[in-house]
Amino acid sequence: MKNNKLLQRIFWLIFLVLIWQIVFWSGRFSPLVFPSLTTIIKALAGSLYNGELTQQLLFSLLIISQGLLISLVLAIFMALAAHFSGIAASLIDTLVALAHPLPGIALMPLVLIWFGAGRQAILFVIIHSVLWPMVLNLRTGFSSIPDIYILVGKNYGLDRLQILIQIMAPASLPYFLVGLKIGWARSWRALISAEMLFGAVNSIGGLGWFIFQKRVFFDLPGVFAGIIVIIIIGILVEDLIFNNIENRTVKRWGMKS
Amino acid sequence: MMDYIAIKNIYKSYQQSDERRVVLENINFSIEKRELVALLGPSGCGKTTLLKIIAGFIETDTGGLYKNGERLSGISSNRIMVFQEFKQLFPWKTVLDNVIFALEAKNIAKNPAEREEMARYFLERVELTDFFDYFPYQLSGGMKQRVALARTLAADPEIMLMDEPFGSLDSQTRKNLQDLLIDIWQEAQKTIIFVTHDIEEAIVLADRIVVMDKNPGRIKKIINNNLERPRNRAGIEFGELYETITSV
Ligand SMILES: Nc1ncnc2c1ncn2[C@@H]1O[C@H](COP(=O)(O)OP(=O)(O)OP(=O)(O)O)[C@@H](O)[C@H]1O
Ligand SMILES: [Mg+2]
Repeated sequence: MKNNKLLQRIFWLIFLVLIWQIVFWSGRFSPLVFPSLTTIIKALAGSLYNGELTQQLLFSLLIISQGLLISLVLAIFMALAAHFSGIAASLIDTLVALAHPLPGIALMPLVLIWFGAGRQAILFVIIHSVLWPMVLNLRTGFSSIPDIYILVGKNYGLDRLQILIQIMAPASLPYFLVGLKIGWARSWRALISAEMLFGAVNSIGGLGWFIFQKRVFFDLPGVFAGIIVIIIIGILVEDLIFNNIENRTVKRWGMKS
Repeated sequence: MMDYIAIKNIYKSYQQSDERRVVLENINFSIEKRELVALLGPSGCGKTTLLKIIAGFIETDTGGLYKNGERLSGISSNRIMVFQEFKQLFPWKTVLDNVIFALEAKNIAKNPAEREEMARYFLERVELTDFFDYFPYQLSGGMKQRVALARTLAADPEIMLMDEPFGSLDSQTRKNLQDLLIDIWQEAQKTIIFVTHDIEEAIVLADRIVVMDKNPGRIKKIINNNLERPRNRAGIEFGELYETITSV
């Protein structure tokens, strides 16, 4: 079943690639705006080989991991505070209501003024795009924990910290993962756009910056090389990392429908 | 002589919309060590409420619980509740780990290997030998309740509080589990308070039956059950006792 799905996926991929190549061969578009597959792959291999793309990719991955980590810690603290204190809950819920619908892009002019262009600005935008959906999902996760789990924990003599770690954490994991997935998707988009806008310090500005630069020099195969890397990272994280975590946890436990 | 457990003058009311409703009124009875007492009564008479009070999950308006004359308060792992709900098991733990949880929580056994061995023993005791590595969602309701029973036994509480644990099972599974519970109770020498609204279940299990009534929840009568064990559900005395209880 799973294999079958993978095969279908591969079939359609090949199909799309072929169409691309047929359009190229038809000669309707100038190779300058519609490069052939071979030039794209050459550009990809070339910029990976000379380290240019690899360096930008590392920069992007590093900054997004950092952003995710910071947001995660903040979100857990905020959701816990809200769970245990009514005052914190009303404050945090208000913050979420205000900030969650606000696209990161809308903040960029402000961020430019406050932080200037550069790493910090990008980090800020990432955190903004991950933090709120994360808090929201963790809040739902905590409040959807059946009372009976907590009662059982107390009955067997667990203290507050043990209940938190041994019961609340696993019981809210399905929501945590949903939050993480949404957070990842949003921050990956935010990252690329922020990198394009904020540009580079010492020419290292991430994948977004890489694509932007290639556009400036009208190097379309280079632009596509960047886009392909972005797609591949997206698929790897979604399909490999998240699916793997889900298969080993919530799916295995029958906690995900 | 002092009672092992004494329940004295318990009153409990709840605020419901704009009136205060008395749910338990003047509850008094005592329990002897290693006794199996059944709380029997219609839906809504406050059986669960009373059991939760005994477990320490909720507070009374007045009155309380005494052990050897000393007031008990709060939750304690010496009084462990088995719920009616099948979802009392942790879904993220295997059957074996759910039982090991109890041993870890109460710090029983010296090391993980020993705990695992003990957990296996308790699961074998409730006749769940082939399901150690299953997750709760893969079990039937009856199997889940067996795991809950094993988990409770593993925690080795003095008193087991059972809130209609077999209430949602089919009658055959139910009978099997009743027989199993009696075996375990006689072997482990536990004190058990068993809530049910099934007269037959109360007669099969209990040494004493506390018959309750509702609106407000109160004790109608406490009936001693001296039928010889193992009890014959089809026996004449069984039928007589059944009659006595229905006519209370
Ligand atoms: N948290 C609560 N708030 C308000 N009323 C409550 C609460 N818990 C129970 N009650 C009321 O107390 C009464 C007794 O409830 P309880 O659950 O103890 O009954 P029960 O005898 O266990 O019934 P059943 O056999 O259906 O489980 C009911 O009328 C119920 O509505
Ligand atoms: Mg009840």
